[in-house]
Order: sequence, then structure tokens, then C-alpha cells
Amino acid sequence: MNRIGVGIIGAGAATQAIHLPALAALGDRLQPVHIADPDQGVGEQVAARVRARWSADAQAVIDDQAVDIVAICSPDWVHADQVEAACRAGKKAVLCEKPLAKTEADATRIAEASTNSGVPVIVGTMHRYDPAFVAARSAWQGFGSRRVFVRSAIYLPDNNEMTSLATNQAGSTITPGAGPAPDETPEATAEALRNSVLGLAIHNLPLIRTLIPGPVDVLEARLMRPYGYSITIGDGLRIARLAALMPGRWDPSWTLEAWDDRQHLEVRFPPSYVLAGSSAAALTTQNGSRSWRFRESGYETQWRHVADVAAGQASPDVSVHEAVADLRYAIAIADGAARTVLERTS
Amino acid sequence: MTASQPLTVEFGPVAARTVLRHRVALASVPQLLQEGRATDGIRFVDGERATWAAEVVSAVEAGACGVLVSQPSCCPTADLDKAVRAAASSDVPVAVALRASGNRAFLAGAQRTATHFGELAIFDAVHVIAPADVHGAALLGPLVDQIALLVRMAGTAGDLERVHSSADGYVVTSDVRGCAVSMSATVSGAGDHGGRVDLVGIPTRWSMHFPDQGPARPAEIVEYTRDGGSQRELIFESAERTTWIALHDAVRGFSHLPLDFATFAEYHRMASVVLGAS
Repeated sequence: MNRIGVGIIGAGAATQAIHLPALAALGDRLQPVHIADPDQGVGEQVAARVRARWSADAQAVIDDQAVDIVAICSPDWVHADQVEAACRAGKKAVLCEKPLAKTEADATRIAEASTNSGVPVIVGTMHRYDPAFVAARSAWQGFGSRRVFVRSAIYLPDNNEMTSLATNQAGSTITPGAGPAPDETPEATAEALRNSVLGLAIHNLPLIRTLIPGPVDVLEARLMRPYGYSITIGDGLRIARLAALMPGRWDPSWTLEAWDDRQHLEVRFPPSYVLAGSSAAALTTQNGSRSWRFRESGYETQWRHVADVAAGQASPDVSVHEAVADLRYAIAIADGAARTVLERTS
Repeated sequence: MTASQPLTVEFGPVAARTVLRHRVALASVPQLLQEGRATDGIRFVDGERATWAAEVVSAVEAGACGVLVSQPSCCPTADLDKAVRAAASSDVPVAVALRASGNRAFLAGAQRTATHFGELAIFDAVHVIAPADVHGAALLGPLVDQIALLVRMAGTAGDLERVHSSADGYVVTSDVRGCAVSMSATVSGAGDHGGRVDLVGIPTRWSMHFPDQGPARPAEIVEYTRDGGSQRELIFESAERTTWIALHDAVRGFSHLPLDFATFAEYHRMASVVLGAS
């Protein structure tokens, strides 16, 4: 069976620690063939590890006829241009890392490029594809129709602790943008809070959107230092509390819980970067509990799905329009949180 | 009454479901307490009754040696003040059973947590209430307990702000020495009822769970550091039993109540004001 060629734009931590190990796990179907990174030292080294070609220029990956799937793991401000180029090239599928874009205008461009070209664009949201979450969520009765209380809590150690367990990283390590010093301006605090929503909360927000579809208001928001937030959102009936802090010097904890009148959903995700299987998810009703846990992580499940889509065996579980709606939801919360900070200090 | 004899506990007018847990608790301390009739014994007051504060005053004035109030609901500030004054002037201990802040495992480690409170960035508490427990005090009780828990560790609750409030839940926030405090509650018919608290700082975080699934189900309190997680002792004792023993010991003069009535009244007032219940 011919393997599907994968080209990757960007050879940073996500590529090295997440995508290449996940592709190795699906090596019978997917093969990295071309990696682009402007840093020759990193790009060449990473490409050589998987016997792929290296280019400094992203367009070289897109133009490569052996590349069927383009994985875009570059900085988010170039996502729209690169997705458009991959769609123009008529690739079989595009996997774009989150956030899909940082502005609604760029997200709309991406959706139009996908629609006009017919090239499926899938956003790299491993929790949306986590098989235990998907199973538990589908067992949840009623979609966005009742009073719901959601609690999202993300407490993580330094990213480098996890990436070092997933790869021998080439190039610089990653540190989330630190919050501003106490004497920095409210504008800087607001921007840091916005970035923390689009950098960290965005992992859970598409999941929360399935429970609280929106539009939602930001009821209160605080930036946490070094990196994190404490935010409450709601639509009047439904409320979500979002809390996050990193990098801590303790075991990771990444949970999503939801309660309505008669159900309790509890999902415990493994930390990012490591292929530690699915989350442990449980749905409890008045009749008892059901729980799910699978060997395959959301990363692997998502890549398997991308392969199915590229092979014409499936349609995207999450359409590009749905992904754009997820992004709009996240941007609205990020903007609302930033506005809350500015209003509090004005 | 002699030290060798159990103290007598007299129940006033109560709702059957309120009293059941307390009768179970009393049955587990027969050497200390027993139900009966005695004006100079301990009086049980059902806090769900609108007149509970006045009933505390009546009990004290009638010569009760101690009072236990179960699930106090909203009451006029003047009535609460009168009850506090009556108890103080007669030196009668008045106890309230609080599930989390009165928990023995929590209290045993509270000082250590308090020492580290300045390093915390997040205090996030949520209480899940069973529909069967929804009554006048349904939302007030958890918030009073959360405030008591916070103050036990932080020394203050800060300026409480109501972010959301409905018949089914609330979100209240404050800032305590730079720590973002959130206290919330929701009603659900499923899942583990009771309280959860995350205390998160860079060097240390605590995960606390005060389940309400069975009276004696223990609190699970885990401290996480760079060396891993360390769980506090599991104590299979209901909040009601803990409170009855504490009240017994206070009446006998062996020890003080972990939460005196005047302080409880202050938390009760704070919760009532922020929820708009007073």
C-alpha cells in the first residue's frame, strides 16, 4: 500500500514532539517526505531524522508533488497565506495548527480557500479528536439546550519537561510568553491575557463551545503570572469557569468538567506533547457512570482521520466552517477578557 | 451533669431529612451524647427554619449548655446579631456543621497551606449541590463554607464580588494578596456532590475534594510539589460527627470550637450580602 506523503511547514517543538512521533505511530499509512524551516540547522536535522527533504522555503513543500498532505506548524500569523497556497496547489488535505489564525479576517480567508478549492482543511485540535472525550461527549444528552456549568482547569509544568520526554529537541526550546511585570501597562496585561486565551485556553474552548454554543460574555478575567488566566464566561443560563497556570513544579493536571441538571461529564486529559493515550472520560447520570479510555491519543486519532480524509475515505469530522466558528468563539473570549482588564484599570 | 455521663441532646422542631444525618452521628458517639429531653443539655436547631436565630436565643435563655445549628438559612441581621450576643453573654458554645472548612483532615493541614498562601495564584472552589438539598439555604451554605475555608488559609476573604447568581448557582470572586479567588456552586442531579477546591501556585498546588456522597466519605486532600503528590490522612468521619464531638468538647471545656459562632455569623453576613440574599 502506498503511503500518503506528508509535508510539514515549520520544524519547531510541535513538529518534533507531536507530529513526527504521531506520524511514526501511523507509519503504515503516512510518511513525512518534506520539511520546511527557515532555520537550516534545525530544519535539516529534523528532516534527516525521518529521511525527508529539507527546504528553507515553505512554498517548496507546497510545490512538492510527493506531498499529499500539508501540515502547517508555522507561526500563526502566516497560517492564512500558507493554507491558501496549499489549497491553490490542490493538495489532498491540510492540517493547520491552532490557532487557525489570530484574526477573523484571516480565518475567513482560510475558509474561503478551502471551500473554493475543495481541499479539506483540518485544525490541529487534539482534544476535539480525543477518542474518550468524543465518546463521552456523544453520550451527553442534549446539546446546548439546558443550564450548564463548566469547569476547565489547566495546570501544567514547563513545556520543556514534556517535549524532552517526547523528543531530543533540535533548536531552541519553548517557553510560553511570560506575563508582564507588575509595572507594565494595562494594555500589555490585556494583550498578554488575550495571548494566553489564544495560546492555552484555545485547547478546551472548542469543547466548551459544544456545551455552551454562544455567544457568551466574559463576566470576569484575570491574567495569571507567569502564564495563565482566571476567566468566567456565560450566556445567562450557562456558565464556564476557566483557570490555568504554568509552568508549575508539580504533576500536570488538565481537566474539563460539565454539569447540567442530570449529568456530569469529567475528562482528564494527559499533558500536551506526549503520546500518553486518550483522556480518561466519564459520564455520570442518575443511573450510574460510564467511562472511556483508549490506547490512542487525540494526536494519533486526528492524524488517522486526516489520512482518511486525504484518501477520500471520510469527510472532515470538524468542517473548516466549524473550525472558523470555534476560532471566532475563542477570539471573542480573548477580546472580551482583554477588554475586562482595560475596563478594570480605566 | 457529670463528666462521666453523656450530654443530653434535645431536638427542637426539625425537618425529617435534616435531622437524619445528625441522629446517625449521635448514634456513633453514645458515650459522649445521647438524645433526650433536658433544658440544660444541648439544643439542636434546624437552620432551614426562618426562625432559627430566634430559636438559638430561646435555647440559650432556657439554659442550654450548647447549641448546634444545622444548615443555617438567611435570616435578618438583627436576629443573627441577637443570637450571637446571647450566646456570647452566656458563654454558650454554638456550633455549625460545615462540610469542608470543619473537616478534620483539612484543619490538620490548614496551617501548612496558610503558610504557603502567599505563593498561590489561584483559589478555585466549586460546590455541586444535589437537587434534594435545594432549599432556602442551598446556595448560602456552600458559600459560607467556602469563605470559612478561604479565611482559614488566607486570613481574609478579600472584597467579594458577585459575578453570577441564579436559583441554580453562583460565581463569586475576590482578590486576596494577588491570588485570584473564585467560589462557585451549581445544582446537578449527577456526579459527586460536595466541594472541590484547587489551590495553585508555582511551587505547590493542592487539590481538595470534600465529597458528599455518604456522610462518612473522607475528604481527599492532595499536595503536589516537585516530589510528587502527598495525600493527607483519609478520615472516614461525617462533618456532623466531627461537629458534635467538637461541641461536646467545647461544652466540657476540653477545647474551643474550630469556628466560633460570631465568626460564623460574620461569614454568613458576607455570603448573604454578596448573593443579595439579605
